[in-house]
Amino acid sequence: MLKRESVLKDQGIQVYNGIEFEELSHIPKINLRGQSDNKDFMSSSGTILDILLPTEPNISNVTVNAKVIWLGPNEWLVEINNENKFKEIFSKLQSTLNPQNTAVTDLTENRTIIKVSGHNLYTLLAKFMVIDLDTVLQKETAVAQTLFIKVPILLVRNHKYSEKPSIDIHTNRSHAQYIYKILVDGSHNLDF
Amino acid sequence: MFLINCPYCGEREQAEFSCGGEAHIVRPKNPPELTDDQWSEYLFMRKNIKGIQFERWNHSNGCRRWFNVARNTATDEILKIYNMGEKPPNISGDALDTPSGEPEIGSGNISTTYTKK
Repeated sequence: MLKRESVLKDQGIQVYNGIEFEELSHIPKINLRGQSDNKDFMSSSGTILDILLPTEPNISNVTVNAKVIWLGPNEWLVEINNENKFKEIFSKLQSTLNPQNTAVTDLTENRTIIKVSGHNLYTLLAKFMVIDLDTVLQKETAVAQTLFIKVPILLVRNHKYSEKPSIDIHTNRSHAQYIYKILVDGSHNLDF
Repeated sequence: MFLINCPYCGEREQAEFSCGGEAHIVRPKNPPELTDDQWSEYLFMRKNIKGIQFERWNHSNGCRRWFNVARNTATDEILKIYNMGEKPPNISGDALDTPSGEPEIGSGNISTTYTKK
């Protein structure tokens, strides 16, 4: 069996200049594709996941077991926080949904998540991306797909309005170290 | 750099998008019946307008959706964004004058205005 390795070598939470970094590796993830105007697909996947797939762009829906992130009008990323639950949900999705017009793909080993948090987080991220974070991540459930320098990433807002900023950066495993090192380097001079 | 207003994700920088070239080029219904000239016209010949051009764009680093854009190629001003399958909007705008007087079509490349006898 494939030995699972964390990209950042299980360093735990690292703190640099008030910014906390943590890799959330091996969180089960499913890429789900289907037409949002297909009622059968929407209701079946909603029943299996116990949550409706968001049809509003750039938001996520969250339950106790899963987080469903909008990626496009016909594409969602499902993050499941329990390995056993993941196996159950994944097999149910595969057996229930019509394979001719839907796709269920396990992305667990393909992507990793770098969780970053801290009061100066938006200042840090703004160094490396053109996107206006205050506007794009305004909603508490906001998500955004964009470029980090030239690397495609998915930003998922975790914090509520009253809390310190906390964002999950979803990226390919092969880009994770690159992003992590740039963020750590950038966190050294946030006091300007 | 310029900003493009993705119909789904909102305003994002151009680097997140890929341009798919000129829009509203319809694939011929019976390719085997075409002459080589007609087929190459469909495959290769593009207007390359200096002024308002209708283009296909894809938000490749975002929602990965295709849409059409009416863009002034001289100024990069985006005049209209509309869905795939929609007809081109009836809009017009002034192209910038060029000091060297290139033609509107195939600016800087006179050979594209060549018509076959």
